Amino acid sequence: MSAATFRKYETVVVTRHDAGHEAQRKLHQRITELMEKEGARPVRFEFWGKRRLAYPIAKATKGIYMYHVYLADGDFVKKLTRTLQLSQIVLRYLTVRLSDGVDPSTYDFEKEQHFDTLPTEADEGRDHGPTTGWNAEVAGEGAAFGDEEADEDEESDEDSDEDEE
Amino acid sequence: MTTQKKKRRGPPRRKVCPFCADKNARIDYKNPAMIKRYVTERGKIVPRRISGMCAKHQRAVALAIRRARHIALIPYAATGAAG
Repeated sequence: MSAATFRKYETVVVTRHDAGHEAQRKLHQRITELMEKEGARPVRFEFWGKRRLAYPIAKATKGIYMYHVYLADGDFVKKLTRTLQLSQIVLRYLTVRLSDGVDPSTYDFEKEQHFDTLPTEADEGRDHGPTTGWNAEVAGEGAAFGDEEADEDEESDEDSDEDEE
Repeated sequence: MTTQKKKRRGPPRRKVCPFCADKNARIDYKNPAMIKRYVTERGKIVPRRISGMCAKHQRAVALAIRRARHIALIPYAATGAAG
């Protein structure tokens, strides 16, 4: 990628919750490697954890959400999209362009920097629900309005987590 | 002869667009709790005449709702036999 100016994108990836840590980690690795290879500049990565889907997708009722923010060009998005489409465990993905004509040399990476790590087998059963994401920073004051609804979602999620495996 | 109809007291209340009123409120599809306030129980987008939102913010909210639906944060339609 030789373009001097980048665009800022965010991508939400939803994967099957029952695919296992190995598959999850592999996908994540593939994405980060692609970023490195194509010269995309990661800004932020959030692991939102397991959430109940609002409607079943390909018979899955729960999904694992991952959220990337990065600087790249359109070609990268194309390649990323292809990677995601080829993956067996990806249920949904959504890429949104946040801003145009970003110059990485002057971009303030520190400002929103945050990188979650993927949970490992050892974390199985531990609550790794959205540590950041809408509940904390992204949502900001907005989260305060509809807290009841959000809580309800989260709890019913935890309840049935184990029996599904 | 006065009618039995309910009398309207004064002009209808002017609704204020919640996003114009609060400049800090961000419209974000990633925040289902916030997005859910602008859909009906059945999951439909609340029309502008009900929500009182301005056209600009209604468009933004509608877009956010469609994005949130896509990644299954909110339903396309309420499920279940009730309805």
